[in-house]
Amino acid sequence: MDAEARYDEVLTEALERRYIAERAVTRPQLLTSIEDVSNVVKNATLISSLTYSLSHWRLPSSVYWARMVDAQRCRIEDMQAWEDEGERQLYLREHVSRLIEWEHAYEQSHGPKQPPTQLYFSRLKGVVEHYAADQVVVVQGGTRVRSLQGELIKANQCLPMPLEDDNQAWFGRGGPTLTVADAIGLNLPHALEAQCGTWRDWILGMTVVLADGTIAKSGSRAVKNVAGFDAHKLFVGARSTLGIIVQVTLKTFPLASLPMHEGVSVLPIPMKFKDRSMRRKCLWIQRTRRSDFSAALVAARSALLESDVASSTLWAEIPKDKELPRFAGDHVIRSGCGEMNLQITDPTLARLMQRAKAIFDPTNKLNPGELGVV
Amino acid sequence: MVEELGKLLSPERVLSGEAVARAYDCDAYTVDRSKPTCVVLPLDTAEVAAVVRWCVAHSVPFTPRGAGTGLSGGAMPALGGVVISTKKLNKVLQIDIENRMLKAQAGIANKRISDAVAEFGLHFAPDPSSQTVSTLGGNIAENSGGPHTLKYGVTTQHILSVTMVDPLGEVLEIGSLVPGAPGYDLLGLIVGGEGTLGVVTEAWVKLTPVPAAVRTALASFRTIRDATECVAAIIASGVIPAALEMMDKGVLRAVTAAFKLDYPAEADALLLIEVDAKPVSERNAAIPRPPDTDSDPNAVSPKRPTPNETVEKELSHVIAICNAHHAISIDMAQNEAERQKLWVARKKAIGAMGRLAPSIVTHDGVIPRSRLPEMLDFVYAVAEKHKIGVANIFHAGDGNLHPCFYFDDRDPKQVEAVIEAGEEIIKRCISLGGSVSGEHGIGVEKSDLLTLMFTPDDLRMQAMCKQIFNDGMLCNPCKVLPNQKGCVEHKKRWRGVGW
Repeated sequence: MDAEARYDEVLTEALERRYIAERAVTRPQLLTSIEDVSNVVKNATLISSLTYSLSHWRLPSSVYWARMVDAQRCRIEDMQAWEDEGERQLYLREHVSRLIEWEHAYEQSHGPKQPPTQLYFSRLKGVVEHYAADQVVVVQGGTRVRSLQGELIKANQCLPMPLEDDNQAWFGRGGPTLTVADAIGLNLPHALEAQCGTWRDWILGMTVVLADGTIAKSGSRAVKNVAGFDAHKLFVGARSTLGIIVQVTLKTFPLASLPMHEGVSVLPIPMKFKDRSMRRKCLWIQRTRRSDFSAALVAARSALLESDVASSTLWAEIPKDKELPRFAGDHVIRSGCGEMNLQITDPTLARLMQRAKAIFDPTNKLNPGELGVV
Repeated sequence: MVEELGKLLSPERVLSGEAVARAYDCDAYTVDRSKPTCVVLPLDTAEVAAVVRWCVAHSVPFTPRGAGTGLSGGAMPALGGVVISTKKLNKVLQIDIENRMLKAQAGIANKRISDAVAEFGLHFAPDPSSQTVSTLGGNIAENSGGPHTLKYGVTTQHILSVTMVDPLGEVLEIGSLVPGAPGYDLLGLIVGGEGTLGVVTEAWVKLTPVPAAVRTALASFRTIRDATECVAAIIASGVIPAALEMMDKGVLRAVTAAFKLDYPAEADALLLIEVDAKPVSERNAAIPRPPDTDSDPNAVSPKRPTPNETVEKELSHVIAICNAHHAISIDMAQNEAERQKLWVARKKAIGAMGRLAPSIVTHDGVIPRSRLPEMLDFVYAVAEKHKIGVANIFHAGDGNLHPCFYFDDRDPKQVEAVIEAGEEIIKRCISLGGSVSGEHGIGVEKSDLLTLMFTPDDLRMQAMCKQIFNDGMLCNPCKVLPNQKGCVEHKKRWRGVGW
């Protein structure tokens, strides 16, 4: 181990000790049923429900970061979740000191925080039913996307996302720990989107726990359905700010018909994410109009990681204080850039989102601040 | 009211009187009726907003209406008031071929959108059977499907953004020209909102390349069970046809008589199969080669099948499945004229069914596709039990049934039997994991049936969705959600008028 790495490790351990000493422990809620989730949500005043492994995608807004520190705390304690000690060290180095810093900043401006309730879905997972002949699967929200894909592939089906590399977070998979509920909540672009759609298109039905603990469902198992308002669409990309996704009915895709990815890969895939240093850098996902895409690719040249022509999407790696050129009507999602991760700039959308949040979560208990407008 | 609205628009674009009220008291769902006080014909979004604001200021209900082809009463002015017709909002506003999108007013007929961009090899993919008359706004309201939904999806997958007037009269732009923007998917609520969340006046739609190769086949089967089992097998095999449409002997009888078509005498079911393939991507010309790669610039990419090779392969796969399910004949179109001929039975069937009886009620239920054989058995058994005629024409690939009951609406007993049979079928759809509606919408027709499918908590969540846009009772009242305050008494009255 070189001196720099050793220094990092010592620093990390020191930060961890300090954190454990200063903070009361909030154990994660181990949830085994939808009713469990309902009871916990009903009685909690503050809920964190996106898993901690996604913290690099989230916004350090107000209450959110105060609560996230506890979420991280649970993560640190749950050593079984870490399959690799090196992974844990890397994680600590990246997050702990920054989180403590943010938490102190928050308390200075807002006063002592309330302890949040971290929903822990590790026991609310698995395929409930796979109707292979109908190409429909019902899964628990805590099911890992990778596990689900594995199950589906056994029946020559899949969710139509790129399959070639588990670690391509920028394709919406978020690494091996990403759960179905988290993936839907984030709704990150992926490279087969133009040909096969997104989570929005694959979801046939959904069961959610609303902020008051109500268990409500939407949709059905049929591939086509116009029975009432498409309530489940509202939860796609909502980052669990309107309700907790606990079960989903998904349309699956025949494996044999999965189209080829038509993008450009700059780096050989095995290098991505195996090089841990890349995790420290910030990911820039940009989608433009078709007419601007060539210019966007040229602008991103040296930083380009991946591109998908069909959906005019590029994935690039840039320092967090930099931006790539923007184009009319485009949108950008970033990771590791704090408040810059996601910006809602359309005032009409922001106003209607605030209204939706006030209706669905009147006490602002579900991932407050997560979308930057409420 | 007529005078004041005339000042806002112009007097000739405010229609009133008994004939107008009669013409606009229902859509294509004629069982329930309710007369409007007047009908306005705005020319643009600003005029729609002005009308809505006037209605809000005077507590007058208003109901948007496209071509009136809806099959669930969505455009019926349930509590009277003003019908806002999009008849004159019928222009293409902007075409952006490079970005494959088009902006049009809401009253434009669906097919006119495709016609406008046909020369560029593009089209608007949603193709409801009513596409020559049904409007873009109506398709958005009902989230319309069509025969090619199986491969291309329903309307919601093809709408980028809408301009709408909200229930208070404010003009909103919802959605983005680049799909997948962060934030709540409010556009997903508007599309399929049945006109209860506001009045859509304009929309940007996605344009899809016209397939580069298409093959169409019409397979006939001796029994409906053979045909439905064939559909389930095709779906299970992993092939995704562009269309998979089925007609039973009731439909065959009608179209044979109407159009002198010739099908095998022993056929009890026809299955129309279409497979297609998109054009070869032009992507390589658009992308600069990325820098600093180790890739070999002379490397030969793996050969991709041509569109023709793709469709031939898929068609032969499907034909093999048909043969395995005892198809008695399979006709394959060799050119576009023959293709259109094979589609005749499907496209003209509903009209031809007018020969079967004075009245037809077309139901709309949807089930998981593997349950088609048992569901069709059930439909026939129900029709027999109630002693009414039934013909089935449906989007088999989606599991979307359209049992058409034909009867004489002058006989109250037959009407009652049709209603009861319809409810039995819908209940069965739900028990099989399906839905009360696959594409016709809820409107007033099925709002009470939603309680069969959803709990009060489920429906409360839907009401919360509506509340984001519409917290009142003026914008298209009494639609979709059951038990809305102020609607119960009116519902009784509608039924009385219809019968």
